[in-house]
Amino acid sequence: MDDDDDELIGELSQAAELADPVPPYLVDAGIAAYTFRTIDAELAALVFDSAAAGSDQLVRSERPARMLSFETADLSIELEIIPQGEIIHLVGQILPPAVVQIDVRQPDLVSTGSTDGLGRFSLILPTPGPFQLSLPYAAAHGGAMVTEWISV
Amino acid sequence: MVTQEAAALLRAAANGDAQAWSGLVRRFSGLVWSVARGHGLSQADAEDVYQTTWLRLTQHLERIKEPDRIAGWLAATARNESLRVIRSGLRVSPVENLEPALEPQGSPEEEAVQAESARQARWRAARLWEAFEELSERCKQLLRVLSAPTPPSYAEVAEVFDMPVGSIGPTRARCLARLRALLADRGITSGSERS
Repeated sequence: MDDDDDELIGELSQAAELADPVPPYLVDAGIAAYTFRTIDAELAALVFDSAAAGSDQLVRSERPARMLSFETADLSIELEIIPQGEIIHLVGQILPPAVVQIDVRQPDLVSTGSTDGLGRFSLILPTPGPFQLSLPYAAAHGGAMVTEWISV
Repeated sequence: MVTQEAAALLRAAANGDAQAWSGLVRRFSGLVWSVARGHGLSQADAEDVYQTTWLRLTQHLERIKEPDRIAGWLAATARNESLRVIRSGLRVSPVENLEPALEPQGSPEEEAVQAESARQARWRAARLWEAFEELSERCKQLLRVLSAPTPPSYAEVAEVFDMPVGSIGPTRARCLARLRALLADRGITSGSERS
């Protein structure tokens, strides 16, 4: 019976390769991801995501926003992802507040913005898809800080 | 050992070896894709999850605590991202085009020249895929991971799905039994029942 099961798994593997293969351009995109690596940047960990399992907040609520929090030892970023028609707004605040450059990094482009005196920012996600926020001069040592990548 | 090779690729990629990175992506692409699609994501959403998973890994290359469990890390990341995309509900994905990808595509003449055995194998794979699509969500998620080209170990799969490791084997067996029943509905037998 176990051998039969292994055989069926093998058949399933072949069927998946025929019916639902990884698109070749996607493999190239995965390989290209390496070039977006930010070696010296400090990583702000994702500490809250309203869309994460176990968080029942806001799911399918009247306002279709997704809320996330990122943290390093000395900085936190609150982010709200708000779709409005075709446009996806990225609205949030860094704490403690500071006026700093804040970029939206995507695999094919980077768009630049800035926070205000209260650390607030309002950006637009140029294209739906994976992105990370980057604060080029906000790390404790004055270097770059980036958030985890997020899919929208 | 396969896992040791993967761990070596991971360490090399962390040290700036782009070739090693490419090797990792090629080796585990099928797994990451299978996890996303196994969760019922559309092509577009699955592509985002796939990309996000690899982008995440670029950020975590130096931080992976157990390099020999990279398959489990990738599967867990892809699963979490898949669930978030589903739960966030921010995207309205077009209903999947259920194209009969495995139906014969050539002209009757071309089809005729194809070896009979190859044609039968394609037909069988298409029926198998139809039957698979009718399985429960849980079975589809689990079987796609276990049938991926480079599947994680049972221990890793258990962590990915938050299941006791002892239940992976029995669940796999139940899902495969269900798949056999769905195949039997189509007049197809499998395994040793096949003559």
